[in-house]
Amino acid sequence: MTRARLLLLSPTLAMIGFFLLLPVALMAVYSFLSPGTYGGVEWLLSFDAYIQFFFERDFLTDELVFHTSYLSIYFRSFVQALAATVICLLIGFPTAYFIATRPPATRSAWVLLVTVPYWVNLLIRTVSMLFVLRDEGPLNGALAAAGIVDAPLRIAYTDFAVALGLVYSYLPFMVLPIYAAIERFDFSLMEAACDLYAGRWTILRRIILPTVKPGVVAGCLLVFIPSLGAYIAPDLLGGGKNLMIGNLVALQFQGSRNWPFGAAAAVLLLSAVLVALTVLARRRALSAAGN
Amino acid sequence: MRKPKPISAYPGFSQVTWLCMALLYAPILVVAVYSFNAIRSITTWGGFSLAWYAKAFANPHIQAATLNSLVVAVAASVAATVIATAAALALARGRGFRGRGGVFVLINLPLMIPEIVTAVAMLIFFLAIGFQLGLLTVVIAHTVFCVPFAYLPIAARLSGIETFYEDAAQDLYADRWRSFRFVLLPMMMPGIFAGLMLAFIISLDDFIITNMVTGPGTTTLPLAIYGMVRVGFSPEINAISTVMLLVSVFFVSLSYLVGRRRA
Amino acid sequence: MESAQKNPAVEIRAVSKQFGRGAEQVKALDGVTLTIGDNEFFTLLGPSGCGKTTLLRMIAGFEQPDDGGIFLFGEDIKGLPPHKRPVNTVFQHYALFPHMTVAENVAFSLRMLGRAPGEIERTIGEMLALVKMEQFAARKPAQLSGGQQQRIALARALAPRPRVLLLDEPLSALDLKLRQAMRAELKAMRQRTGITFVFVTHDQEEALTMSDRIAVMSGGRVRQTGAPRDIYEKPCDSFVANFIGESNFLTVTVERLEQDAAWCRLDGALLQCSCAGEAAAGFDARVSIRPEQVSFSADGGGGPALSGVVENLSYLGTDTQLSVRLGDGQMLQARVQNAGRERPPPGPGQRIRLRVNPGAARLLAD
Repeated sequence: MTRARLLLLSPTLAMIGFFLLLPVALMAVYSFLSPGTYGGVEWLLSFDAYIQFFFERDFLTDELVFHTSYLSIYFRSFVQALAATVICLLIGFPTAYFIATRPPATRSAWVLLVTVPYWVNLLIRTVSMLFVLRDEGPLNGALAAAGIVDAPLRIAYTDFAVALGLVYSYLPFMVLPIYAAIERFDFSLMEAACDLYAGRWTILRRIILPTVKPGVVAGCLLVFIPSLGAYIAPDLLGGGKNLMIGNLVALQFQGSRNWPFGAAAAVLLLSAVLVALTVLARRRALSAAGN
Repeated sequence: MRKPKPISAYPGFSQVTWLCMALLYAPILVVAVYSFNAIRSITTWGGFSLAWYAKAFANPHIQAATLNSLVVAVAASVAATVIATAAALALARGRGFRGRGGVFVLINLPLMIPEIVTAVAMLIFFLAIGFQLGLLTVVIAHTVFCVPFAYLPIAARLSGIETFYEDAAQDLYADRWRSFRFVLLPMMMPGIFAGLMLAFIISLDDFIITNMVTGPGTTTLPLAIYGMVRVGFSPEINAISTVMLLVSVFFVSLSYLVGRRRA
Repeated sequence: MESAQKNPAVEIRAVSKQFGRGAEQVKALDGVTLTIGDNEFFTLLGPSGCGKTTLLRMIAGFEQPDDGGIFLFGEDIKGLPPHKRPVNTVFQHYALFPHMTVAENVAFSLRMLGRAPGEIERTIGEMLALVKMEQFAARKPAQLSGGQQQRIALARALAPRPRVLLLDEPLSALDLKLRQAMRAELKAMRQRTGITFVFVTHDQEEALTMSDRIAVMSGGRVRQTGAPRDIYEKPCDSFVANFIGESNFLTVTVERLEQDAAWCRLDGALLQCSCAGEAAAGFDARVSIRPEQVSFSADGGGGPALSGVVENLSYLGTDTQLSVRLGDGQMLQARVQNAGRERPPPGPGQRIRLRVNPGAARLLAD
């Protein structure tokens, strides 16, 4: 590295290195310490934060008893993220396909239309969703006015609402990479397959899907990863009852004040995300090598 | 006779696309419409009114939060853009070097780490080094996560500028600094501007990290909205949301148009 | 100006340059030595990858030689950065600054050199007048056609009055008609300005029409240096003969050597050849014969004549090209003009007699 280059990179190294990398490392260290009484930590090595995930210390016998209350939060997060990913795929693939088969002039307008919501404040989008879905909201108002329901339909503060919120949050991440893959697809292959007596749906399954698979995988991971660590959607739409990992982490620093446990929860979340990102990077490298 | 559909068209795909668009836009449009409703009612339209906007912006709490948000967004986006521009010059120019991949990962690290993890890590860190939580910690945190957003359009712009322009400048008696100042920097400007716009809205939008690293009494607009929603929905929230929505759309469009502009 | 008379404009001494490392290492320049005289239109000609652009970039200061020296009017300029060398470049893609007007582009170097505003204004006017672009001063480069951009690139490079002007394939982006017009203009421009031009091209026609002297390069080496006529008519090796124009390559036996000529036997006929290198009597050698130096006659009146059968015949507009198989099996291409011919050319299968103009065959060094 030349001196000029080092000079140009030093603000980046300083800023992200000092205010992000170092804090994350410190957080990992904190996960192995003992909790302080009023938040913070005692500098005593302890694995309690991790043990706490799986075991509870019995009040009377002081024995460690296996429990699932925290594991179930991780499990729920995983299921929610998976559900959001599947729904996004079911909506996102046809949308991406539809956009990619538009004439080039209108295509970029469609892409912009998908992109813009991403840049709109996530909190505001989620608040809007809650506004529409809640018991006193316009959706229930319209349903009641039309005489379809007598009592308000309970949608807000359910697992379904959280999944819907996640889909709403990250749908553009599914559409865009799939769109990019389909746009590169050579549609003369489709004519060739058709000429060889393949039907529409056979072509989709046997010709298109295998070709655009890297885009589909990328889209799924790009939805799954942020969904797993989501905070706003479960917090607002889940009404604080249907916790996900993000909420569990935040709680330890706001309410429960068990910092080492919060740090450990964050470390576990980060590890899961890094594994998923590594898979994504491998895929990218593979498909790049394939091309 | 009906024209046969092209084989590339799948039945139902266009309907799903419209569903997708409805899902993406319906909630925010509904909120925007209700923000103009003169009365509080969900079911009846009381006429067009800007009363909720007036009420929201007369609220001193909202005013203070708006000011904080703007101060943080301007400071963080400018700082992030400067940092990202320097990084882009180091990474996108000249031949590859050892550690290039590592630096690239570092720049994109804020995108890879879940926001909530970044938030608590920064909180721990600021408290550990005895940094008073407040506007400054918010600005620092925002600068960090705005860097990759600013970097993207700047690097894209820079890699589209052929190196022969710098060669030409040096051939015409400009030293390295002046070839940067008078040739490369002006040519990079659209990308830098696009990066600045993106960083600005990303900063304006942030809730999770701000929520953790802010000090008592320092509220930004998203924090204020969140606080109000916790209490209960009011048409004021719709009005503020609509304004923020328009601000985001405005800056993204601006960034998109400028970034696309030919040199 | 006395020193300029004594010293050549550019002197390249045993310059070598390698790119890459290890297995990917490429020798871009391999011991190149050249002398470019003051007031010369000098062309570096060669196929892509021959090292000509690297050499030009070295004179400009964008590349540093690994070995050897570069001298500008007798002064060693090795290690001098581009902005301290009194040479300017017309870039292949013009590299006009897109955010500046035409006038600002032309004025750029003068501003960098800190010239007085009045002088800058005057020079802009002069330079734009020189390239006949006065009315475009306020335009941006994107609003100009390719040919107009070319002129502005030239004006910009000439504005600081460099001692040597480097031109890196400046015509390659233009269409054929414009390219031909620009050739004459560039040549006239050089004479008017009195500046040494070093021109890089892969287009042999460009090189032949404009240059005072040409250096033909290939594989990082200079194959031959000389006036266009010498390069074309007296190529030193088969690369030069093949790269510039078309040629027949035939195997002959050297019979007798004289001062400047060699007498070689080809399919029974004795040809007078010019010599590119050393030759030894009694051995086989290769000659190059330009197709237009071969004439044919039905009976073959006078001179040593070859005889062969027409195998193929191509009508090329101004000329007709005949592929003739000689008695020993070698093929010979002959090109004859169509203008003024009374009889139709011979058809395939017909046996004809051919003559090679005396001295037109070139005995090659390789």
